[in-house]
Amino acid sequence: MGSRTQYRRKATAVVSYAPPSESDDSVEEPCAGSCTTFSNKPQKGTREAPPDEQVDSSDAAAESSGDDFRPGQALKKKTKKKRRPHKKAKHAAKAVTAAGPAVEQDGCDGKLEGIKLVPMEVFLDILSKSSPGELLSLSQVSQGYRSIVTGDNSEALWRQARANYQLPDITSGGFTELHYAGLFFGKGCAACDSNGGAPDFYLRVKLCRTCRHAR
Amino acid sequence: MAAAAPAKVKLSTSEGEEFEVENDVAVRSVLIKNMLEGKSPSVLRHVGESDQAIPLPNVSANVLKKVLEWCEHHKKDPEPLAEDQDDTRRKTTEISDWDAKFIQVDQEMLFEIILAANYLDIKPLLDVGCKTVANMIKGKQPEEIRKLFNIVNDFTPEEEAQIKKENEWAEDR
Repeated sequence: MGSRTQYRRKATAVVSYAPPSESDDSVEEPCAGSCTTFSNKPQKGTREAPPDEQVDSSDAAAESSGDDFRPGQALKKKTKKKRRPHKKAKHAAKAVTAAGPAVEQDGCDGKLEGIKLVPMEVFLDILSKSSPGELLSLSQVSQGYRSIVTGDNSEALWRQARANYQLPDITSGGFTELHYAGLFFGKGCAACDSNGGAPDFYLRVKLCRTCRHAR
Repeated sequence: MAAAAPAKVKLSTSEGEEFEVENDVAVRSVLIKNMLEGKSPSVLRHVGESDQAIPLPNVSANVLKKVLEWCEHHKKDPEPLAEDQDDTRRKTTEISDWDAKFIQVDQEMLFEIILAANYLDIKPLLDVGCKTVANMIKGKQPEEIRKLFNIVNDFTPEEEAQIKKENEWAEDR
């Protein structure tokens, strides 16, 4: 029971991240403009520039609501801002010179960007057709998505996702949906960085062989 | 039977373009169906009964064309029972061949179809759209999803460490 309440506390803590997810909404404005650019994939080359702009503006939008962030976070943002556009700029330069392959590599960038425009109930509808694996991934994508997927009202989402894969409910004794999903869908060993690993239902963790023997 | 609603109904898009559609095609949209059956507010009912076009200010012509193409193909589909529908909707991410081909559009159109289906209340079409998107997310790792959605990782290193730790639940037990 102790760990259960502990998780609760975590969940509400996550909910208090709502401001960043609202800033997500404001991010939509710049996206709406560049969305069209993404659909026009065939026109390569010059198309790399708008996303670049957008990274900038979305960062700016996030920073404008920066009061809601802790100082450390804002700091991190700045470093990221420096790093990101740089990479994109390189791509853009490449794309101009050799339009073909350079853009092809980036083929999936922003491919589903329109998902930011759908209403929440539709987004949840999409998630209800996913597996716990996708929910687990989403929980690690960004603050906003994490608050959706691990928030107070997320239980039904996980139940549905598990039902899609006909996985049994073993979320008892403080074993949360996130851990459960990690057990089945997590990538690699939980204790070291190796890639292998099989779910251990006794320890309730995914471990590679070496780590399992170490226990 | 003959005295029932007129065989055709006019729909007007966000641009003001008018489409004349067979009734049994248009009523795939529950929104339009309710309007025609007079379950909607009186203003709209008036619109439905008269010869005026039903305004669909949220749907553009090219999207409505696409949506009507779907409605035309599915106009003879039996109406599923409420619970039945819920069941089949949930279970699989499978899409019929025709629908899969129909939904092979660029992402902008895909989401516009989803939004229109949501607005017009065409559940089976909304379902096709949602399944398509769900299939595109399938099996993706966080970094891949960030790329797909074009969003920035806004976790601090501390938070990332915390998330990783949470996944090692057995350790701090």
